[in-house]
Amino acid sequence: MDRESELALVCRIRAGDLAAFDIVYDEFNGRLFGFLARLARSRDVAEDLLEETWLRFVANAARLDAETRLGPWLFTVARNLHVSYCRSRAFEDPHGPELLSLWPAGFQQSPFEAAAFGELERRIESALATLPVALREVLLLVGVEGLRPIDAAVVCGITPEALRQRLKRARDLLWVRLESKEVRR
Amino acid sequence: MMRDESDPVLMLVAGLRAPRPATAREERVRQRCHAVMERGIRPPRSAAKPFGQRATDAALLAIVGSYVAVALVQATQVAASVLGLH
Repeated sequence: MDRESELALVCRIRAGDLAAFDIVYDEFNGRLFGFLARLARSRDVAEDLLEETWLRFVANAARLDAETRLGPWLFTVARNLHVSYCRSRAFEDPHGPELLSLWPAGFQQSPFEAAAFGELERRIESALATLPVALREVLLLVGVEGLRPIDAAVVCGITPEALRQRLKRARDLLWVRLESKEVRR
Repeated sequence: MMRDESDPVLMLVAGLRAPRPATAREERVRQRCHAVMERGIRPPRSAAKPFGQRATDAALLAIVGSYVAVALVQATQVAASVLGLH
């Protein structure tokens, strides 16, 4: 989505245009869910936080700034909701990485997909899940979601320099975990 | 997309498949959001009152106001006569 289309969408959403909302929803819903599911390591929690993210978006739709950048806005809300969720639970995560449940029960993949993605993907997901949440979120935002580092810094509420350092630590730690035999399969 | 394509770790995580929320829930949330947006653009209920209803409200207010004023005057007169002020 280029900047011009984004600004036009923001303008339409401020006016209550449901079709414009649908475009934004289709563009970001899957990405936000992936981000939240890997952050929370739980589909159920991710679905709840995702719903709350969208409800906050529409509740603020009429008051959106005309220059709003939708990606950073939505990822910031999603990330803050996850932070609040963790605080309300008073612990980061009840699950070990072995309980990582990104895919719905009964999820089927073809034998080709299983062979192509299976082992490596499992190892990466497990290694990712073992990272501290502060490192995991920057890797998810920049590596998986493709946000610009400067936007990811805004989402995480840190300076671009702090984000750069955190991203480097996250990459290094993920690499170590991937090479380590401790990553649970 | 601003990923550093020379970074093998970023490229590895970039290749992960994206999990999707359940389709039924996805649709339900969409409908809830539509409902919230539709409520948001409607005029506030007080501004949407029809003229007839507003006139009735004003008439009722005037009647109650007059009744209270008359009651106050009478109470003052009774109090004055009891206290022998006249």
